[in-house]
Formats: sequence, C-alpha cells, structure tokens
Amino acid sequence: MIIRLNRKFYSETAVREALNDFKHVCKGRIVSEAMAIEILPKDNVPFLKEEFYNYVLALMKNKALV
Amino acid sequence: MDSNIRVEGSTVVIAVNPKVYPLETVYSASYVFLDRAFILLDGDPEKEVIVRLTPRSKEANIENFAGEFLNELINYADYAKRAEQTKAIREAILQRALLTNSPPEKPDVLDFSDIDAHLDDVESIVIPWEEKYKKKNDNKA
Repeated sequence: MIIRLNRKFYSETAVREALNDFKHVCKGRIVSEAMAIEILPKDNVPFLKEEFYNYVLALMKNKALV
Repeated sequence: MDSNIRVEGSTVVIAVNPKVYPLETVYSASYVFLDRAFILLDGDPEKEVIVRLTPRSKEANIENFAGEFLNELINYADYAKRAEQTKAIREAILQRALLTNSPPEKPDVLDFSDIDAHLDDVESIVIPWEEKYKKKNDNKA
C-alpha cells in the first residue's frame, strides 16, 4: 500500500521516526521526494495507514512542545 | 453545508484559508482531534489547507466534527493572537521571576577575619587557665 504525505505539512524526520516505531507491524520506506511511503503490513492491522497519519502528526506535536 | 466543508463517505473534508487561520493554528486544532479522528493534512500552506477528518467511531456525526474543528480553529487563532499581544508582559514576568530567584554573585562565606577582636582582653580580666590553677596546685603540694 502506498500512502502520500504532503511534504509541506509533514516533516520527513517525523515520518522516518514513525516508520521506525511501526516496524513491528509493517515495513515501510519513503519512495519518492514527494514522500510517497510504501507500507507493507505484516498482519491485518485495521486502519494502519490512518493510524500512521495520526502518529506522524503526534510526533510533530511532541517536537513542537519541546 | 458550508462551501468549504464537504462530506466524502465517512470523511469530512474541510478547506481552510491559511490567510485567516495560520498553519500553526491548523496544527493545534488538528492535535485536539488526534484521539477521536484520523487526520490528514494536504493542500498548499500558502493558498488552501485541506484537512481530512475521519472519525474513529462509526456513530460519530461527521458534520458536528466539522463544526467542532472550525470552533477549535477560532479558539487557537484567538489563543495565538492573545499570546502575541501578551508576549512582552509574559517575558517581563518570567525575567523578573528568574532574577528574583537567581543566586547571589558571591557565595555567602563566613568571615572570620575579625574573630580575634572578640578575644581581645580589653579590661585585662582574662587569666590563662594554667596561670590561675597552677599556683593553687603548687600551694597544696
């Protein structure tokens, strides 16, 4: 499954950190400059891509608070 | 429904004007919904920000969600404006608090330089112990 996050809103650092944190449920990598992210779920995880969106946003929130 | 809000299945898509609501305000409003909805930001931060909200709960009323999101936008836009207006006074208060509690430039050290002054026998009444008791002991012997 390929998901796209707009680089103008999402930081690449947060995406990379999220991919690392999600490594137990999926494999993922950034495949293009436009931050298309290929996610390969290991199991049938419901709402995986949506949870990924939220997780990236939450990481950015935490960074903003520091 | 308002022209900048449209419903696509279980998702509500909200178009936000970044000239009215800055990007930081959109982020702050989005963070409020992290536990209740899935959020995807898209669009152009200079022209139009697209916020896609999908409630986690199937029973949630997505039109209410859109309204709540707009309310949060106003809430955080106002917060940002007030924060900017009160920035100087907040900095002054913080500076005052830090200065009040800052340690003194020189640490408090006891000054023993004049301690001998207290031992000065001004009225010549101090008699050394040996001198006072030696004579008595000698007399007894």
